[in-house]
Amino acid sequence: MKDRIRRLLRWFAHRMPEVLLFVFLAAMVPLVVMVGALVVRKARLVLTQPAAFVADLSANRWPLAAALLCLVGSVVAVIVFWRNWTYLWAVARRLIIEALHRKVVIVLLVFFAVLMLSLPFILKTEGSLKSQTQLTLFYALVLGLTLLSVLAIFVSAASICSEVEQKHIQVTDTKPLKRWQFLLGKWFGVVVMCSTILSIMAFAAAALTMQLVKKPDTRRMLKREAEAAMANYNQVFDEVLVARRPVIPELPEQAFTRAEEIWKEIVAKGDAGDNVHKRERHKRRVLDATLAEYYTVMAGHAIVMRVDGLLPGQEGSLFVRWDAHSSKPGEELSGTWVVLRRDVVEDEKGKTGFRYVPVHVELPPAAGYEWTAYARNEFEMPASVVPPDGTLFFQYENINTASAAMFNHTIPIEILQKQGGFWPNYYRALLTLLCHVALLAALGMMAGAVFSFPVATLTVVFVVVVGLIGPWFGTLLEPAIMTGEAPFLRDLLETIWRRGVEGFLTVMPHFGKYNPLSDLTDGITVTWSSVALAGAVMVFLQGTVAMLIGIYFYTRRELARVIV
Amino acid sequence: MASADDTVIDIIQLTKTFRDFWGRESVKALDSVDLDIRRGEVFGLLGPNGSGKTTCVRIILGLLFPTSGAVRLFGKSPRAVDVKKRVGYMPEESHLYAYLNAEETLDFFGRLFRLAPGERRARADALIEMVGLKRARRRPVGQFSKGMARRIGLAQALINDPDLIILDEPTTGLDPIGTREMKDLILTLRDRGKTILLCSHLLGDVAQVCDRICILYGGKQRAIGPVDELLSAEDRTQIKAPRLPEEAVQAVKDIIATHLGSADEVDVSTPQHSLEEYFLKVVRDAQRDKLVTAGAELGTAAADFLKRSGGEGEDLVHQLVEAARAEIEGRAATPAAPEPAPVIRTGADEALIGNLMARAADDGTAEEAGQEAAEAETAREANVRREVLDDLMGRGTGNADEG
Repeated sequence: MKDRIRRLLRWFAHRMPEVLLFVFLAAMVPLVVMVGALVVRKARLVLTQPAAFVADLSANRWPLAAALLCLVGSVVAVIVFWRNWTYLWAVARRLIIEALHRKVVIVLLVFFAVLMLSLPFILKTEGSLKSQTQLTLFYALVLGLTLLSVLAIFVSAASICSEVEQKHIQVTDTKPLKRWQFLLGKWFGVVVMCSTILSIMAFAAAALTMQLVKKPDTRRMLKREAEAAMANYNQVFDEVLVARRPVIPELPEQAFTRAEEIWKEIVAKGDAGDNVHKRERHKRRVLDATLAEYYTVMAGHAIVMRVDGLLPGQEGSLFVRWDAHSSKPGEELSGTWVVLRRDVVEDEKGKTGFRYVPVHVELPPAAGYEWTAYARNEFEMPASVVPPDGTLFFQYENINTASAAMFNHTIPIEILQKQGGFWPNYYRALLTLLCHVALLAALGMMAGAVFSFPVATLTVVFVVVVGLIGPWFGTLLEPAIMTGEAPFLRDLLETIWRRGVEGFLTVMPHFGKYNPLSDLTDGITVTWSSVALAGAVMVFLQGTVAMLIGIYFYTRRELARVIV
Repeated sequence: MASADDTVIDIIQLTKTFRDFWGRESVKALDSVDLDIRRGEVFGLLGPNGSGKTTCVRIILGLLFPTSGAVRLFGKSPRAVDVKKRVGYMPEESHLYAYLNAEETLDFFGRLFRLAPGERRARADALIEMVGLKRARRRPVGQFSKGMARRIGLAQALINDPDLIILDEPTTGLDPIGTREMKDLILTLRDRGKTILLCSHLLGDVAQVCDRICILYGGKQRAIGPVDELLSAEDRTQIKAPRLPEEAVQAVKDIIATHLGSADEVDVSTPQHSLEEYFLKVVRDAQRDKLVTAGAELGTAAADFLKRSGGEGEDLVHQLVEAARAEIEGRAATPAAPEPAPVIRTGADEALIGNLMARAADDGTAEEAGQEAAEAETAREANVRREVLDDLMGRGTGNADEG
């Protein structure tokens, strides 16, 4: 019996890479199913409503291009892997065995478990069940992603560098294995391993979160207490463990027209300047100022924002988020929201017109009739009020007589409408995180193919840091250049900045841009479009470029070169 | 003259220069080397440390690129996948994955040759048995002794049943049993039509197994030709006979004196068993007594899957030699000890070669071309080695730059 168990354990240990591969493939099954369903839906749309499809195409140009790139890239990847599977899997398998033998996976999971289990204690004092759930899920996933990123960078760079430094490659390269197969196999091994670890981490994070959100036992509570506890509990499922679709108003055309007029006046006066970049920035600021002016509601005035594309016939709630502050610093807002529906009516003469019907009124929450200053406010309204045309008008009336309400001119208002369950959303977010890991692994491969291990890891860390702080760094540096005193130097610096640094920052991976964790824990839908964008940019563009650079240098490298 | 089809490795005017970070020439590891290794021969690439042997092998394997000149394996680039399928390489150090065990190591390399799972397993079993690692098959390679690592290194080199086998210092780190087995295996593989390139500075081993050798020094080719021709001492005669009585020995001496005018250079002695033979006898006795060892055991004859390689008529030749195969394998597995006999030595040969090479070779193990080249530039050492090699070649003291 002991022998049998030992044999079984040995067989299992020997087959561990295949188990990981199975987990990876199983994790990809929902993706294939969901993408398949999406493709079928779009195909039906083409056949039944071509006009609607064309409209969709023009409205979602980039997501569709990204989806197309992902699809084509996936097909190419499947063909490449199919034709070279023996080699690629042999290399990937060996990398996984190495990682398992070196206890990398176990140690990483232990670290994650220890840190994650300490999260509820650290975050216990954060307030409501909703915020505790949000923070626990968010930080558990951030923790997982951080550890996984470190693992992806180190394992990928180390596995390539150690092959050369420990001279294993001097045997492996004499076998009928092409060097690109070697690099791609290694990358695949890292991705398979990381996807399994990510699955385990995601499962653990979800389990911990669900453990926090227990249905309260209201049998021994007073009625008011029970209602409050249930409201608290339901709030988690309404606002965190849910997928809500954000709908925003279109930017007002009249503001754009007005900005164009102002710009023409500036040009006519000769105040636009000669420097092309400065002109561009100037023009952008004119537009920003015009939009800000448009979204400024003076004392006693009102603004109406039209929101299209809401889904009619839904149950539950709509969550309306709005972002504004008072013109007087520190002063709280006072205003009333009235939500209107537009009905088409006919008068006695048969002439059609519109009638606006209030469907919801939201007064300021506190007795002082004031909203919170400098914060994103949110109110809830029934989803059933959405008319069949999916259009609602949101009117804000500023009842403060002394100060103006200034809305964020990019996204002044956002309507969140329930669109699906939390778990599909969670899955899409995890897919996006896997794209991050795949890109990091590709960067590690690239750096490892060119540099020695310490230099390779430092290079990738540099790229990641630049990718994370690049946009913020750009916004910091721009005003500094603007305030320079010497015009020549200022122009020169600006040119260098624009053409050099900005270009460099543009091609760097933007990890923050495709991070789905804020949306996920805010209960906002992580759309297939965002997954497709992350996949297209991080895997099929940047990842592929990184791998190609790595392959280019690796195939031209003398692997037995003696360093003298 | 060998036909083009018979040429397995063709090296034409091969030069390799290493450059430093700034692109300046730091070491000229190989300088206009020409080699032509033919199918079915055991070719020895010899030279002291820093002579360019390993660099040459690495270029042949596509691990380094020539600065000028060309290398063709089976008429193609060394980096062609078709070529790599036919090559087996055992490096000087067994650069294998420490955490894989013997089975996993062979399984990994078998996968790289796209061997079917059953075939992979069968070959791995046969090779593990052949190299005597049956008991250590599930131990991580990282825990192996140097000799055991060499054995698994050899096994991985043969997993694809290669036509060309490149062995870099194949007997380094091996115990006398392993050394003997390695040499026997080389001969067996040669008999099966494999081409073997042997890179070594252990001249005793090379002399026993190689058909032809090339001697490199300072990256230049100093000598090339059949071993017998290069090593024959034309001015000496050796007579071997069953044990002779003292009178008979004296009579022989008298005859020699009659012919040479003096018997001063005649040396008559009774040969001893070599230490190698005695060592092997002790180990075989221990095995007969079934003493257990955790290390390597005696290997078996070459694995059956290592088929005869060759061009046209391969099958026919294979059939013809099949009858003799059992005899050959038997001889390879248990080489017969020679009958002790008095030897009359009239000059130096193997002892001289051994001594010469011991003087010529440094003790360093790593063949770092840069370091070696730096050493090679030392004038004193260069002079010593020049004498050694010239002695070895049967020449007088000559110009080192010749040839």
